[in-house]
Amino acid sequence: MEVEEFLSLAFGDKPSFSSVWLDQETRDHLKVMTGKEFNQIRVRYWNSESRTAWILQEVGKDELITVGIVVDQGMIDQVRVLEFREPRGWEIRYPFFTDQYKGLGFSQVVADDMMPINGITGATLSVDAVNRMAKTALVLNELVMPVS
Amino acid sequence: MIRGLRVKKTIYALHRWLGVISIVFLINFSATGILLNHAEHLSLYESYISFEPLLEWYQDEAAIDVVFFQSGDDTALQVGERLFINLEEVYTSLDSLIGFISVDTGTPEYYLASHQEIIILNQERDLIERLPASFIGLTGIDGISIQGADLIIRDRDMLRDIEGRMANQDVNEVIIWSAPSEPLEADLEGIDAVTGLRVSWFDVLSDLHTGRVFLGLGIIIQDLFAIALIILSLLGLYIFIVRNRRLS
Repeated sequence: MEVEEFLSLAFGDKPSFSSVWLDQETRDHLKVMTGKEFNQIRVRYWNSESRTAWILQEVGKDELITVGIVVDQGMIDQVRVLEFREPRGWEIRYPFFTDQYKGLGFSQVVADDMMPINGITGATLSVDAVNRMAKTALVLNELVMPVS
Repeated sequence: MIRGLRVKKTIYALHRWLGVISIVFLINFSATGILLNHAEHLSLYESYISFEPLLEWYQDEAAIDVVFFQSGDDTALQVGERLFINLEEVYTSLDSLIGFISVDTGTPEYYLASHQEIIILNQERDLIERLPASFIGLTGIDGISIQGADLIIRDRDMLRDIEGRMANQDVNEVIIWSAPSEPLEADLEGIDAVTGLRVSWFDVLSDLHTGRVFLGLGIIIQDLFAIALIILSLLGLYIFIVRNRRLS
């Protein structure tokens, strides 16, 4: 799926993007949450009213996986795998997997630390990567649109 | 008695042939050893080989692709998978570097492009942002350039700016796209330091001395010669003792 298509599906009319700068504290927080260094200091996102859309990239095993995540009122509304380059683990593109993230909120992720997501045999690393991106999107969403 | 004579003959023959075979090894080992022992006096560390076939051989063995870009006073260098800005290493991965632009609008930033994405680094070479081509609305990246204050990115069909807005397509004809260039003389030494393309005589002699000049096979051959030399010495000692005993 193309970025444009993903954003159209998320918002109807594609809004202009904004950028959020991440200080060291936020990056440290992300590292604690995801277990992986987040070395980017600016992240682009799109938002309209209570919805934000994030396009994040993570390495599954060797290659980058690009995922689009829509967060609405602090909860994940959509997860779409936009690009998948790994030779294995492509099952994560299917709705039976991505739909599990729907309704997942920041507080759940922070409280449980573990995502209530069923993995896929043979796609563990890809699933882990999507989990990390989902957590990242929720943390970043909380940063730009704190849920009171 | 006859059996003893046969053994003696075999030992003598073995000693003779091992001696002949070891000549090449001994000459190489001794000559390179003497030179290496006096490396400092002979300035072997600072003398570099200029024999093209040997240099090319070293380069082939290293199999490193080197790409150099210049933008204003700044340089970007990709050596294999390693990336350098102004000859200082950047610890951010990027596929084949196809463009480099440095901009200074108060806070200097570096834009590095591969066919898939653009990475933006700050002056400290920290990653600011990683922008896949699809973020900018392009199917890939064929070139980057700077037009006024705007970074222009192109794929096969269109030009866009870093915000993903359509850029004036007419500039494609006149714009100068970032392209690899030949490094300036002043940069060569630093580049050689990071690419290792400069090969000193000390390195060559060390490789000859240890057999590494022929990679893994050379080391095995050198080991075999060394074992042959040990056998040769032991046989020589045996022959010396037997002869001495006979004379006495």
